[in-house]
Amino acid sequence: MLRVFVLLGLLFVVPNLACSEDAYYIGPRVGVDMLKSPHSHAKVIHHLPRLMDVSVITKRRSWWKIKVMVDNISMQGWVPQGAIRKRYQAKSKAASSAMTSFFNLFRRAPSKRETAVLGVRGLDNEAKLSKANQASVEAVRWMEKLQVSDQAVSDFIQAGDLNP
Amino acid sequence: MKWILACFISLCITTSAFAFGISLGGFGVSNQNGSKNNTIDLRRIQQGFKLAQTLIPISDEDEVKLGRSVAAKVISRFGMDNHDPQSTYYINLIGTVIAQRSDRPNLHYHFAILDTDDVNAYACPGGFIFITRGLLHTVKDEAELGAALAHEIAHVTERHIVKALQHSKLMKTGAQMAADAFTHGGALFDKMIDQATDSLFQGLKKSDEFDADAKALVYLDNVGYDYRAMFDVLTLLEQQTKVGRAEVLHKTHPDPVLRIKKLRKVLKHEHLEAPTDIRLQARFAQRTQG
Repeated sequence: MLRVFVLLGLLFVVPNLACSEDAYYIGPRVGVDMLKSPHSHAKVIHHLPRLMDVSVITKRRSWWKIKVMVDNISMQGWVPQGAIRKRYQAKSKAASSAMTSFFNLFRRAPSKRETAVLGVRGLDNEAKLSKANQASVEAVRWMEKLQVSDQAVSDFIQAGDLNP
Repeated sequence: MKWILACFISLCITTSAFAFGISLGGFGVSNQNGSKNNTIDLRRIQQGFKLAQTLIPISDEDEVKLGRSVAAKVISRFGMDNHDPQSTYYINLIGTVIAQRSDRPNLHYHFAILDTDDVNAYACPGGFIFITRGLLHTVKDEAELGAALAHEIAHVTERHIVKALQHSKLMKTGAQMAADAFTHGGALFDKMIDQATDSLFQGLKKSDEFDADAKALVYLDNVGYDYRAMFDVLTLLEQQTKVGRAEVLHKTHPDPVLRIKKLRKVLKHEHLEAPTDIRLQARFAQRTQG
């Protein structure tokens, strides 16, 4: 029993001694949608791929506000807490080496069994993404439908005393 | 025993293939007319190289098709501001008037407002142009709004994104494949959309931005707006950058001070007439509920 407690103690103490605290990344295999507000029905700002580095700004219960860099552009939004994983980043090279050795103690041999790329949650995310894309395509169609008539343009020029 | 035999056979095959390769390579060198043949080969290689470097043409129709998809990506990133259809109609009127006096008047241009307070504007290929709500609330009159739209229209008339795409490695895959991609879609077309979207979000070449500024100045003058509005917009952008409301624009565009400097040089060369005083501040305030 004592051994179990020592082991559990080590499990918590070693990473916390060796790691810096503020590195996070996207965990789910299919990535996650970054939303405008902390609600599941909120507008999708961007789809974040798996393993993407994120900075956590605020935490509100099960929703975290994060900041990401996409194409050199800084974007902020909300994601479910469950989609964020902590990255164990070593403070120094020695700490990194110690940490690797420590985690190797618990590492299992890689499974030979193939895993399905998309699970039910994955399909759900894909469907959401597809829905967001569909909405954008509809918006472009709406743009194309919005035509200004020649008469309206002519009146506009005349009213503004612009060159005919 | 089987393993040893298999190793021996594979060793024999490899050795003979290698020897065959050397003999082929050595043929040209040992040939008496080698130098002449080599010259011809070099020419052929150069011709092939030039052919590969030739830009694959993208028709207006294909450009619109590409632009439609890129516009959808822009909307999916920011969302469209549909709360104020009057303002959207208003920017469509201004944009259409300017576009009709641009270098590509026959293209159908479409304008919309993006749902973000960041000060910026985007021009997708094929005439899909966006300004942000932040920009709409930053400019002070119709001439300034026209200046921002004219700059974006210039990106379309000069086909800046299309040219960036044509020069990309992606389009070196071959004319037939590119044509098929536009006709049938597929993975290559998706990559083209991604490439064009990246160009849009990461920023165009500095020279393209200066070029668009210069063209915008001329377009404003063609319509009859006070073209000094172009300088005023750039001054506004500089101010907005300082207060952190135009971060993306600051990252993707040259410094506004440098743009103003370049534009002054253009003004000297273009020999434009004296500027009008048409700013239409009252109409702008009325139409944008400002």
